[in-house]
Amino acid sequence: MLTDIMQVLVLGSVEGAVYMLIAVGYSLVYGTGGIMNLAHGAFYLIAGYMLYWYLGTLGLFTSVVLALIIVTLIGGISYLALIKPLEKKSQLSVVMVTFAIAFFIEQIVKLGCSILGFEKESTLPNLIEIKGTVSFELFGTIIPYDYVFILIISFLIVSLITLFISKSKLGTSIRAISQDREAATLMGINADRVLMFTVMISAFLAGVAAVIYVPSYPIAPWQGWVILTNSFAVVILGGMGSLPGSVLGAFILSYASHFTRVFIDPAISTLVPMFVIVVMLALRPQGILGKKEID
Amino acid sequence: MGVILEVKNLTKKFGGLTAVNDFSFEIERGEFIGLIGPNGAGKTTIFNLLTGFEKPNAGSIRFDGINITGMSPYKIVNLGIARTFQLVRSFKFLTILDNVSVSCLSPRGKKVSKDIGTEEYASSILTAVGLVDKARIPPIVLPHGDLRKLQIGKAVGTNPQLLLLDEPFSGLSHEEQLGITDLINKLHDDGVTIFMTGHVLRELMTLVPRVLAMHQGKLIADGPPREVAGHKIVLEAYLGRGEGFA
Amino acid sequence: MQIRFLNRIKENSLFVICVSVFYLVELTYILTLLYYFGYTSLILSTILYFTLFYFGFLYLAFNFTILWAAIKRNFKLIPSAIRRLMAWLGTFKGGLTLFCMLIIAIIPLLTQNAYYLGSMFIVAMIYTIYAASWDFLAGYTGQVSFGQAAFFGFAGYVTADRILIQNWPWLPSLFFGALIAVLISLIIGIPTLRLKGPYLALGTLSFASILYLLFAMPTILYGSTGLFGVPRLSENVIIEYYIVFIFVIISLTIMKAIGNSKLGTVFKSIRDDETGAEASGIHTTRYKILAFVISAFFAGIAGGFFTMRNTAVSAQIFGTTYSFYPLVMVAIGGIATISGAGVGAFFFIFLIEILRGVADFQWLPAGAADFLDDALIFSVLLILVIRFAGAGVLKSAIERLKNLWDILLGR
Repeated sequence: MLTDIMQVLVLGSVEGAVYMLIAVGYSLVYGTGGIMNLAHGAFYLIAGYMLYWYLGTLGLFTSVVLALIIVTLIGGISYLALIKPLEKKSQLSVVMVTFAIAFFIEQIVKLGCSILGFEKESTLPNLIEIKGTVSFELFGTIIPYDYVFILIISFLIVSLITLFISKSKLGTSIRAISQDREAATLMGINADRVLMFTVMISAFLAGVAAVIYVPSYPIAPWQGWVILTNSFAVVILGGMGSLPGSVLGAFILSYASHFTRVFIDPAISTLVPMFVIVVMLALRPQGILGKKEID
Repeated sequence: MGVILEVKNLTKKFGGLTAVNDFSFEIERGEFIGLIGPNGAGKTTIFNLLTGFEKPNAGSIRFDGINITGMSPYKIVNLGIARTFQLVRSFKFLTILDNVSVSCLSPRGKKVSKDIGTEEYASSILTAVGLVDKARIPPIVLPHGDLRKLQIGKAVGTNPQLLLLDEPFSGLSHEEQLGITDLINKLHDDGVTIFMTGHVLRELMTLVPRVLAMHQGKLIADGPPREVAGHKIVLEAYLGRGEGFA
Repeated sequence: MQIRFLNRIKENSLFVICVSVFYLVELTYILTLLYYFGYTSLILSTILYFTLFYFGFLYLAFNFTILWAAIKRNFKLIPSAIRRLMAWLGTFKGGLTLFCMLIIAIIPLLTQNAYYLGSMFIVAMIYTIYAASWDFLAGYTGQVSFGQAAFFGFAGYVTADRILIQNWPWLPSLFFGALIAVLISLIIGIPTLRLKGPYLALGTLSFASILYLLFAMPTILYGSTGLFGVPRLSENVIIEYYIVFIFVIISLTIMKAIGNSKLGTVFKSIRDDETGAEASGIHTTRYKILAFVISAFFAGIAGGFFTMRNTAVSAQIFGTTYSFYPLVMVAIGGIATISGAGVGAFFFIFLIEILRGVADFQWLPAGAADFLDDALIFSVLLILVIRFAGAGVLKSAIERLKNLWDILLGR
């Protein structure tokens, strides 16, 4: 019983922290530009696979940095080359093109694996090893050091991002655009440039989530979609475009799904995000902390 | 005749801003009434509240004896309140005829179109608004004045008892304004109660026998145009000090 | 109370049409069961069917007055519909469609090659229904589904289950699968379609990925291997070809007819301006759900055929690949055309075939053939099409051809 509860707490916190990173990025882009980015899960995917491919040859540090740089660039390029020109045409084509990007990245990942000679689905070695062990024991539960690392890093990064948005000049522009894009543009803010940075930040956050989580969680090409689905559930639960909402939503969803997995049925736990989406949309579509009125 | 619309203590807040503040009025059946006020006075918000596009924070709206406060827009339309929008909106890939047909296919419009046929009903409306020779083209190619007519045609298609016209004259040339005025008068003669806004006073003042004036969300005057135009607060709030009424 | 409810339903011709369609499907189903199994099985499964899937609807569905009212109201429309069809066939687009249909109809006379007929033409026709179902929803109503595979796949599984495990004949299995797809679409559609914005996209995408995970689990829902050994429609590929062909024509005609009807006008008004449609007194949620349900029904029909064609179904069918295909096909053929879905589907299948042919040639440097993964190529293709040609590549080509035609005729 105690181990079960510990499992829910530990795994729930870790996964919650990871989803917090992913959902904060997703929510940021949606809140600022109203862009429903379906390629967000794919950003996670590409960063995870970069790490997986380079880890053996380049070493940990270089491959992490490389993965993060590449995923941030991909974010920027997809905004500049595809999202921005379509944004003026129709919202629908933006959603469709991000879907196409996501699909494209999934194929690239598969292709990369077959060209470089990697297994498509795999698990990576643990990141952190202290005194020859990778984990410690707490109340009879084995906890890898990685988990502690994930919690620290994700909270650190999310606090930094929050600080950045509330204090820096770019952050002020982001907030201005999220409130009234037209007015912000009239005040001389280059909305396109700010949105590009927003998408890049969001891709970076997804990348960080990937590099810290991939060593603890098996990686597979279809996982981008699952990540995307779960981040939908998180932002719908917390409130579209609300950063504190995303943090709250991530932990609630993660505890709920681990609780279901341990105490009820693993198969049902897969349904938790869908259940959350349906129930929230039916009862409170603006989410727990969402202020933006959705009609 | 009787009261068709009864609005009591209507209040709407957006964040800290009170767009509509404790607003009460009544409209008699068959009346022709205007709502004036400077830009940002809350005229469009009143219309949005009456037609269900916004939900009020307080107050009640009764239409024809039914409490419609907070109802969905389509339900309100099907009780008999139709509206036009300040910014013209149309179904841009449908023909003019189909634009009007959509309204004729709404439950209330169907009561008429069931007997005479949707297309015939829509054509008769287009004849009334003067667009029948343009029935088969899409609205993107229409000039602004015709788009305003189309707006009114779309609203009329739902077979309304009360028609809300939001700035029907804005952005129109003098000739176009005359056309719209004729159209509105014709509708009123057919027994439709009309409630319209405007910030250009002249047209409105000559058209309607009764005017509501609002400023910063509040009702400041209610009466015949001459009286309202002479009202001290109206002059100060709306026309600016010292300027006469054109 | 009940009488008032009934009256309200009788007034609503939309509902009447739905109920009569349900009723006809039901009748087909009962007659087929009667033919194959006799009375005992019929009674048992009918009871099950009614209680489980029709809820209270059934009582109303059997209300003959409703059905009769619907028939009476729409009977006078038939001659004018035929007249309009004839007029349409005389136009360029109508003539082109007729021409294409004739070509497809005589293909089995030209080749009896089972690979060409089966793996290319039949699959392309199945994809035509599938892509058209997506186009119906996105093109006419402006609601985008990124998880169309949920209906395609679920119906595929249900059809396979009925045929293999319950030993039903294929026709009722197919309709049963499609009806289950409709039920699923209601579960996703009712919460998401009440809202404006891309919530449907989100709901369908999530639902499809969750179905993928669930059906891939080893212990539940037929296990990770799925169902296999589903018999084809017929041993004879030509018979199979014509059955699918008839279904394609019926499905596309229904979807096109709805698109051109008054109902279609309402759908398109929602696509063009949802708020405006509401201001015109349209209950937008109801119409969006209706469009979604129709779309899911045809996606389900396509899924059933696809499973029978492949003789197997596994969790892969819920993968994004299959949700992605209709988008590509419609993007190629042109959105809001329905027939464009067919053009896109055939183009797609032939392109895959050409790519395979290219890959087979050994003139490429080693390893390069790996790049010719069709999913990869199609994702690039889709990105380019969305980016540069919103209306579909072939649609603009057809427009150009039409202009040429007009010039040739001196119009």
